[in-house]
Amino acid sequence: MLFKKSMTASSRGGSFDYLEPGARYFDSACQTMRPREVIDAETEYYRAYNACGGRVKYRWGEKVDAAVEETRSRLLETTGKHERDYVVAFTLNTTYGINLVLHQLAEGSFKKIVTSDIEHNSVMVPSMAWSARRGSPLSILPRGADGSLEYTSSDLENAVVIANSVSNIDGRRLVNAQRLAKDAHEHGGVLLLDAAQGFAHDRETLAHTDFDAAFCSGHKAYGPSLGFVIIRRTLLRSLDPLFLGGGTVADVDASTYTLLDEPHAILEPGLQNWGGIVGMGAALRWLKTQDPSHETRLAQHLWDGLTTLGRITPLNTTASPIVSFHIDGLDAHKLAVLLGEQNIMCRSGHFCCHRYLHHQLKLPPLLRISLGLHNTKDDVDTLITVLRSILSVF
Amino acid sequence: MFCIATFIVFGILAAFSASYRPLAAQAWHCAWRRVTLRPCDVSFGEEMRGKIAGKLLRIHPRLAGWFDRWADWLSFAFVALSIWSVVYVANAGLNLWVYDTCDPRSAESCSLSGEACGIEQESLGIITAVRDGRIVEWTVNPFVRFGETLSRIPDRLKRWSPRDFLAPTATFRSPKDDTKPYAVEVIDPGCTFCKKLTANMRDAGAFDAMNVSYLLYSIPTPDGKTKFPHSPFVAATIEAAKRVPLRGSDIPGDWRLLEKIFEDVPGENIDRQTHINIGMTDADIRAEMPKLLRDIGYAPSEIEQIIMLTASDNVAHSLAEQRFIVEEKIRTVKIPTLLIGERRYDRVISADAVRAYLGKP
Repeated sequence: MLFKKSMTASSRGGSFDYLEPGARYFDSACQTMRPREVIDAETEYYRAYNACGGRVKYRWGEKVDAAVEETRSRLLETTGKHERDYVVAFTLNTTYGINLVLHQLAEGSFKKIVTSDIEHNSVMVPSMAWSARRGSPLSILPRGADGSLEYTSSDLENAVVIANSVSNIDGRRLVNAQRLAKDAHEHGGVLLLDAAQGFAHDRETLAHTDFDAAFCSGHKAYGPSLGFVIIRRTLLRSLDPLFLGGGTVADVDASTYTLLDEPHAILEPGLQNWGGIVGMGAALRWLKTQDPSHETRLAQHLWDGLTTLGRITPLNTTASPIVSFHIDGLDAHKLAVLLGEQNIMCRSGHFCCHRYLHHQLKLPPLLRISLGLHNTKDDVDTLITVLRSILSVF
Repeated sequence: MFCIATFIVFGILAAFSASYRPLAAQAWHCAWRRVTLRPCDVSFGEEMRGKIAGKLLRIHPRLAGWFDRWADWLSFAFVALSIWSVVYVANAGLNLWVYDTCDPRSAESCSLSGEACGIEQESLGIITAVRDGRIVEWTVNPFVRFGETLSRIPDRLKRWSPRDFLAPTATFRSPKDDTKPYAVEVIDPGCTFCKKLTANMRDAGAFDAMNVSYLLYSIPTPDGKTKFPHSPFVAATIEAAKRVPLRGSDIPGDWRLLEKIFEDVPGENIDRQTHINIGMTDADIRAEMPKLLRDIGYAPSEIEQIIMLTASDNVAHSLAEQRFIVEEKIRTVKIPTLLIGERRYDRVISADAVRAYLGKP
């Protein structure tokens, strides 16, 4: 009754015209909606040229190879990197990419690993595991309210530094990424960036940072479910390959093998998600046509609305496309269910950041609202209206 | 408590639909932790609460808030009612097995019991208990009754020998022959189901193939009267007829009188039993019985003798003895009760079932 007016939304047009009217999706930090163009491109691959890439000579395969190379190029272009210095490799997702690189770092090449307190488990857990396996210390450094990593020069001495460029909790950005990269390099270390959120929300930082590797997820950036690593050639060549097999070797004789002279191959063992890579190319083309200020305006509108509601304790201090909060006296999981019943989809919990949110800050489960390019002002208005109503009776 | 309530709901749904089984499993996990006094380690209960409240939110936000506030109490009530229902059903099931009726205090109120006339017992309601200051009795009554049911289980399992339950003044429909098996019916002349059983016995040929006898029992009511108002007098007349042989008949006079009451349809589509039960006053029945005795062949002097005997201590004592057998030995809660072939039935059984005992399919 109360929500009837707000729930009867007009259907949205453009690339998301297929969305069910009334559905309000606010979980883009987990995975974004896919534009119709991306869905069409992937579907077209399956229907029109469903071939393996990198190993066949027929027409379909050549088309796949071209599309894959185009996607690699566009990824470099989108992050402002040159193929002279960097290589793009496709993986399963960000977590997989991080593990793939971390555990293939040559033994003894770094004496410690440094990360930040607000990391997702995709960074935190592999860092812990790397530290334990190599017997090297792990430093977990704080991030400032502005998102900058707080460190001293000695922290970076011969260190693997790994941190997110945008937090999946509150959208905090690694504002000192450029300085951090420079300092890490000066002290014999490397900077690895978890850009799972950053690729969707802050490509500027990626473009201006001299990172050694960035790990991203296509599904958090309007693409299909796959991951990709943008890695410096020198680092890639220094890896000690652990995962080998199909697609990684040029020849195998009686007892030895010769690796392919394609650097990305050692991060791409086995057959790849060709359809996904094709779709990712379409996502990059689509992203280029989007107005970057849309998300910023919407984030501000969301922040303005949320701050008018009482009882909400946000983790954010400013507007962001990713906002997390808890409400005194109302369990976040229950709130998510209540919203879900109104066809408003938000994430609740500790968002795979247990160490920081649950154990360090000792916070209860939170509700996270993460915006995407499919969201509209009407979506945000409805969310605020429903939240206000819920808070009035619960 | 909400976990337990959801487990009950999803447990029942899961029994009929596989799609609810994962939810039932989650609810069970949650409920098991609850009943083992550990906190529910999943937010399942909260999630379910949220889902219900969320649906109510669309209808009426305040109702959703009210539900959320009272969900624990509502769950408690739901679980308590569910447990009570399970206990009630289990008790009814036990009663059905032991007594052949879900409720021995009011046998006819149970649709699962066989055809029979119930022997109603006093039922103490909460209002009466409060009014009369019998709360303790009202509280312990269910436990007493349960104990009584348990004490009757051996009756359900034992082998019944009809010969052990014959009335001291027992007569048999056909001349007694010790080579034939025995059968005993407990009947009230006013009970229509007793009439039906007797007819089935006759149709099955039991009267010739067995030594069939009966115990007279006028069903008492909690107010000290009888279920069928004229039954005591009719029973006394039948019992008195046992003492005055019916000359020129192979069938004892009491049996002829009983059959007259059970089988006659004197007119206007109303059978004699019903007519006696609902269409006669005390004076009518006292005038009617001599007529029936005359119709079956008794001479006026014999009729006078029988009518005199109805009020005798001898007949009263005999009826009391039969009542004692019914209430203290057979301990039935509804009649007709039939003891046949080492088994006992507290209901009408079909002629075919009787034939099965006679080996005549």
